[in-house]
Order: sequence, then C-alpha cells, then structure tokens
Amino acid sequence: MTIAPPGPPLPSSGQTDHLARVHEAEKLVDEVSETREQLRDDARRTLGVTGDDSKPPPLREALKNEDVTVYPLFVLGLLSVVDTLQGYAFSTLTPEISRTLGIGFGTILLLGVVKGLAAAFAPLPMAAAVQRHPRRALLCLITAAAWAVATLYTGFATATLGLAIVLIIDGLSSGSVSALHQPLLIDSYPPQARVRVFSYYGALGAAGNVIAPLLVALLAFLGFSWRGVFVVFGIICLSVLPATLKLRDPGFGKYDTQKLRAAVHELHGDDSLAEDDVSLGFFEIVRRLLLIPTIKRLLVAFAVFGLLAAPYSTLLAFYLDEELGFGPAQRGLFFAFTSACAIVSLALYGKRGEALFRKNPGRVLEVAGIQLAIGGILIVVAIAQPYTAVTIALFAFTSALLAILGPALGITLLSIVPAQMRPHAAALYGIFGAGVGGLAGALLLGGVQSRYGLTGGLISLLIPGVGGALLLRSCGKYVQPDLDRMIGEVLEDEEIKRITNGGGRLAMLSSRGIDFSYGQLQVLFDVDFTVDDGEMVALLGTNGAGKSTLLKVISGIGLPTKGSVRFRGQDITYLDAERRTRLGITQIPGGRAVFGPLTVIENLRSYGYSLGKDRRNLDGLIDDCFEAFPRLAERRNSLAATLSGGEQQMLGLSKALVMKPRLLVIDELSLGLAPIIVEQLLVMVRRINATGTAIVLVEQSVNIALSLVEHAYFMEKGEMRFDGAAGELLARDDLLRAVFLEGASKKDDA
Amino acid sequence: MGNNAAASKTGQGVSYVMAGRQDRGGAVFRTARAAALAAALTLVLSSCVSQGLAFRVDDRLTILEPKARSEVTLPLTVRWKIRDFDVVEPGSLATGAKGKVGTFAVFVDGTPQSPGETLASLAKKDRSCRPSDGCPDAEYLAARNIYSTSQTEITFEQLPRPSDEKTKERHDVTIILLDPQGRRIGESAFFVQFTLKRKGA
Repeated sequence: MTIAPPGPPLPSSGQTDHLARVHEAEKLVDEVSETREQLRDDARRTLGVTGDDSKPPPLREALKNEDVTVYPLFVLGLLSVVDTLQGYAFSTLTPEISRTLGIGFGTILLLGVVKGLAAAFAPLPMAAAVQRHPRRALLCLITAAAWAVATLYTGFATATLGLAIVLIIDGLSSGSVSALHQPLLIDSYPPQARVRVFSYYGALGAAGNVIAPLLVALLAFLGFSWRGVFVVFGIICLSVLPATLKLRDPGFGKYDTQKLRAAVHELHGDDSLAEDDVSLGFFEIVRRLLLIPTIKRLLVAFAVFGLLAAPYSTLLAFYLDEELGFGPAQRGLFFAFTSACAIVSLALYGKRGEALFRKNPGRVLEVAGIQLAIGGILIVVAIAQPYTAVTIALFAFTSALLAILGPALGITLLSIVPAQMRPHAAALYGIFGAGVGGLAGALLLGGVQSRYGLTGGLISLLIPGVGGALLLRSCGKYVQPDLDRMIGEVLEDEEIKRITNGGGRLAMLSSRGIDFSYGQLQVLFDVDFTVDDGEMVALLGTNGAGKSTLLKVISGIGLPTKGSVRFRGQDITYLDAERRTRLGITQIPGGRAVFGPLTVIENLRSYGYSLGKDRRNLDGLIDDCFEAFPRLAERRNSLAATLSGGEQQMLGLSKALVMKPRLLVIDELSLGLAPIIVEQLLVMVRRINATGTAIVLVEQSVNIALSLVEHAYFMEKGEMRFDGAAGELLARDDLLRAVFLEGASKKDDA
Repeated sequence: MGNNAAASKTGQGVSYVMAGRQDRGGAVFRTARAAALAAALTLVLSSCVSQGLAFRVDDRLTILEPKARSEVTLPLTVRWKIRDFDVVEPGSLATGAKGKVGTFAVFVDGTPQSPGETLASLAKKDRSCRPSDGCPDAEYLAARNIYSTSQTEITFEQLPRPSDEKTKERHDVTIILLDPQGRRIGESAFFVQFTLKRKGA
C-alpha cells in the first residue's frame, strides 16, 4: 500500500469493514513481495550467478551432480554440423548448378534470398508450436529429417521449381533450429554448465564449417558432380538421425524456473506446484519480451551484428578470390582454417565465460562488445597491410574473436527470460540477426561494395562492428536488473498461486509496482492499485497525473515496463486487451466512447459481437439498455456521432449492461455534462455496481467521485499519493488543493 | 534452498508436463507419421527423376587453353580436347550411340540452355526474334556471345566488356555438347574462368 508523505497520518478509525477487508487482501500481496525478497539471493545462485570470483565446478562434476550426460549436447551439436552441409555445398556449387540446369545466376541468387527469408522467419512459428508443449526433441528430429531430405533431393532437382522447393524446405527446417536447439540445451543442463555447453555447441557448429569444405573437396576429387555431393551429404544427414532418437525434452525450466517455483513452496513447507491458468499467447509473449530493456537493446545489437556477419563471409570470399587470387580449393581451406580457429576459441572461452557469468552476467556482454570492436578493427588492418600470411592470420584471429559472440549473446538472452519464453526469445534473435540485419547488410554493403570495391566494402564493416560493440556494452548494465526482474516475476507468480490454492483471498484486481513509459518519458512510478470484488473506487488526481495511463495498464491497452497486474490472482500484466475483456475487464474510455459512424443499435450490437454472444441473448440485453436509458430507445436509429454528450455517455455506459463485466473501468464520466445528466448516469453506475460489478471511477470532480465511493486513490505526477477511505481524502487539503486550484485556474482562463 | 529438495519439486513439475505430453501423444504421433510419409513420398518422387542425372563429373572434355584462373589477352583462343564423342557438322544426319555424337556450343559469360533444349530456346522470350524469319541464327547468337562449332577450338577477337570499369575483367567460357539436332546432351557443362587484361589497361 502506498501512502506518500507529506500529510498527516491516516486515522484508522475512519476505515469501514469493507476497506479493512480490501487491505487484508493487500497484505497478502505484500507477503508475496517479502517472499520474493527472501528468496532472491538463493534464486540468483540457482541461476548460476554467485556474484563472486569462485570458479565454476568442472563440467563433468556439474553434470554428474544433476545426473546429466553430454548426450543432448552431442546430438544437437551433430545436427548443427550436418545443418551446415547443404548451405555450404549450395553456395560453393552454385556455378555448376546454374550451368547444369540452365538456370540464370540471378535466379539462383534470388532463390538463395528466398531461402534466407524462410530461414529468418521460420523460428517464429516454431516458437509458437512449442510454447505450450515441450516437444522440442521431436521437432529437432523432424526438422533434421526435413533438411536431410531437402539436401538429398537437391541432388535430384531438375528445374527452378524443384530447386526452390528444396531450398525453402531447407531454409524453414534449418532456420527453425534457433527456436529449438539453444532453448532445449539450456533446459537440458544446469546453469553452472551452460556457458560451456553453449560454447561447445558453437564449436561443434564451427566444426561443420571445417568439415563441409573438406568433404566437398574430397568428393570433387573422387569425381562426384554437384548432384553426387548433395546425395552424399543427404545420406550423411539421414545417417545421423537415428542418433537423435533418444533425445528427450526435459520440460521448460527444469533447472531454473521450476526450481525457483519449488523454492517458494519449500519456504512455506508445502510441496504442491500450481498449474498455469492464464498463460500468455504467442504475440503476448513476443510483446512482453520486447519490453525487457536488455532484450530490446540486444535485438538491435543482433541486427547490427547481422549487418556485419551476413555480408562478411561473402565479401571475404570475393576478396580472397580477386585480391589474393585464391581459387575455390584455397578458399575452402582458408574457411576451414578460420573455422578451426573459431573452434579453439570457443573451447577456451567456455570456462572463462562461465566464470564471467557467475560473477556478473552483464560483464559477458561487455566483453563480447570489446571483442566485436577488436574484430572490426582487425578486418581493416588485415586488408590494409601487404603480407598475405599476416592477412590470413588476422582474419583467423577475427574469426576466433567473433565466434564467442554466439554463446555470449545466446546465454544472456535466454537467461533473463522465463523458460517458456525462451523459444520466442531465440526466434527473435534469429529474425533480428539473420532477417533484419542480414537483409539490410546484403543490401547496404552490396551498394557500398559496388561503389567503393571489395576493400571499401570490408572496411565499411568497421561501422557495424563498433556500433554493435557500443550497443553490447550498453546492454551490460541492464542484465542483472532484468535477471532479478525475471526471478521476481517467477517467485511472485508462484507465491500468489500458492496463496490462492491454499484458500487465501486476494483482491480482485491488484496492480503492484507499476512503471509505465511513453517512449523515454516515464509517467507512472511504482504505482500500487487494488480493487476488491464488488467494490467501487475513485481514482482522482490532477491533469497529467497518470490516471488514464493506469487505466490503460489495467485494461491492457498499455503495457507496463515494470510491475504486475493480477486479476483474481492471475497474472494478466501482458495479456491482450481482448483477452482481458473475456476475463471480465471492460473500460469505458474518456471522451465519447462510441462508434460515431454507427447507429445506436449498431453500437450496442458491437458490444455483444465482441463477446460472441448469440443474437437472441443480445436482443434481450439491448432491450435492458433501452429500459435503463429510454432516450437511447428513442434514438436507436440515429448515428452515434449525432447524439448529445449525455446520450453518448449513456450509450457508452450501456456497454456494461451488455457485457456484464466483473470490473468496469470508467474514465471521466461527467466531463462536460450538465448536472442533471450526470445524476442520471450516476444512478446507472450505482445500479451496475449493485449487481456485483466492481467499478473504478476516474473523475476530475472530487465531489462527484467521493459521493459515490468509500475507497479512493489520489495520484499526482505519476505516483500514488493516497489510498484510503474517501472521507479521509476530503481531509487531505494538501492533496486536494492541487485539484481545486487547477479547477479554479481553468475557470479563470474561461 | 537445498538443491535436493528443490530437485524433488522440480521433478513434480516435470511429471506434470510429461502427463500433458501423453495426452497429446496421438497428435504428436500423427505429426511424425505425416512427416515420415512426406519424406518417403519425396524420396519416391526423387527416384522418378533420377534417370539421366549426372552424379559423377563428365570428364570427356578437357579445356586445354586458357588455363583456369590465368590472365589472358585478346585475341583469345579457347582450345579443348574430347574423347568418346564423335564430332559432326551441325544438322548432320550421322548416327551413333545416343549422346556420343554431335557438336559443341560455347557460351561466354552466359548460362547454357536446359538439358534437351536447343539453342533456340534461349531466344524464346525475345519477341523480336521470330522463328519465321530464321531467328535465332548464328549472327543472333553471336551477338549474345553464344557460338556453335564442330571444331575443338574457337578464337575471340573481342570479349564482352563488363558494365563496371575494372582493370581486371573476369570472364568465363562454358562448353556444352549438342546432338546433331542441336539439342543439349545431358547435363554436362565444361567451364573455365580467366582474367582478361586489355591492351592499354
């Protein structure tokens, strides 16, 4: 409960029984906050963040403690290796494919772009597919089978259409990996081993870049055509599938989210984990992720990194060809060598990255940023100096530096979100990195290269390199708070479920610690707001105090940057407004809350349409509205825009009669209306409240509001300044003066 | 928080998830079955088109000059040798083993027609080239850097200039085999890439 100084202490004698009950319910929510604080430090350690210089346990020991084997890492790494085969073969053998099939080079490049787009956007539907049911192991097998078949079938393609189909299948299946592999890995291994697991997974992926060129060279030496190469690669891909059959999905957050939830019950000595009743939908999760400061910045960093990474290897291949005179075989060896350096780098990074993460997860990003900047500078040095051997060495070193970005960014991204949102976070990573960054990089640097040549193109990579580095460094300071926020959310969620399952009664609506910003401008600061069943509360305050913004947060039109909104115990903070309507929250917005171009009856029908009510029931409800407001019946066929202000508010209020919400939020009901009209409307508001609907009344008119309610809130400058009995608010001259002065000032202006 | 106690709770959470999975076992199985069926169908369809595809490199033709990735000047002679192939004049009525008799088509910086197609297929989309006027003829094709020959060498006095001015011009020459009726034989394409240094450049 927030009661801000200054002001005299609130006399408790003025509180009614009803208010006492509301505050009792609020106390339970405060208890939740206490539990959260008590468990936070332990929770951090559970997530592998010790905050000290202690060394992580050896990998073998960390795995043995949790009875985990390297099998998931091995299998997913193996899939990662064979995943590179089709892509590498296609890019290398494009000229041969073009001449064999009689397909123009431009067409093949276009097909490559289509494949890239398929790969960039495939993770999103995959994330949607796994969001409720952890069947990622099966999907890993299916996607691997799909790209194995696509690889094999590439060898049989005889026309553009066939080639397009296999490329799209390959793009979809291999692209969706980003929503599957890393989230599955992070759930398969304890936090104490994850950075190393991600590093080794990255190293195995890099091994694919070593193996693929060597295999292509070997098969070419043995006389295989490009078709033969794809058939052999397809057979290799198919042959690894049986190895994946024992892969199992451990469920979401086995070693983190679930443990945090279990800790809540352990603290209170019970052992029943609760089930989610209100789980977020796909787009709600995506929208929620985009509100996390680290993720917002990381996604921009991914896009900038993609800007560098996507054209880098292409520009480098042309540079090796035209400036250093490297033929295909030499280029293959060069890329195999640089990938081998990346493997060594990743193997060395694992333990060091783990220690960094334990001490300070944000530092992992800062170090990654420094390495990205150094990598960008080394590219410029490599092409500026005249010695080929030094150039190769510098490019190899760059490859080693850039290789650690994958695990560093991946572990940070996936550690700060609850387990069930990880596929979505990983999918966004793929979209921003390969999709946004990759496409922008191909277009922008293609233009730079054609104007300034290959050297100019490579030098221009310094810009995204340094830009990305600065972004990553700036992300560092948000990681720890976001990790704590995630811990807090999980603990709070579980604690509230525990309380409600144990028979504890929470207030119907409980908003806690709400922060809200319009862009960079924060307008709500740590706002608590509670409404109990059947209660009518007034939300008062000066203009610009944040009242309407708070209503937006409650009804789901605006999403907070911090804090939670709970409705009947369920967390609805990030639920869509439409779903909140179905749960029973309805808002009558300020101003004229009607559809002007529709008639009165069409407006009333539209309220029913949103609930999917059948026509017969709806007709009865509309009759109720006409009975409550006879004036509306007289004007049933008039356009809503032609109604008077009072009639429009009547029509707006009819929404509650049709939708029968549990919580009705009314913004500025009396604004600009004659007193007699206001009185009519207030009668109806009381009637609606009498049927059991809780009402939040936002009013400029203190007299009107306080004549209706027992419980009042007062907001000023985005903060909740008063929460208590309406009568007590009337005694608070320090608060009300601002409203009256504002009102007086308006009258003077008039 | 004790790890062991926490783990036991975690186990319960997982068992809930696993129970949910069993309910959906049928749906997952159907999905897997559909995927397997699709994969099998693809393989079957693949085998339908496997005839006539070249899984090994055709090494009957070897380009002798210029050497791959060499630097050349104009005039440029491209020379090659061929084995197991009887070279005849275009349009000849000579018969022989299928795919083992015919002529050559030479493409400079271009992509050949699809297997089984004639050079005329390259002019399909050009409305100004009417077959009734005898188009495409040798002159039309030469203007597009495409040549048909029964010789094992061809000399170019000029090569197409790239749109962007560069000191080094990258070009490639592709040779394919045509049957006596002018249709492309199989998928074989023989290719050499080189750098042209123009005089005065």
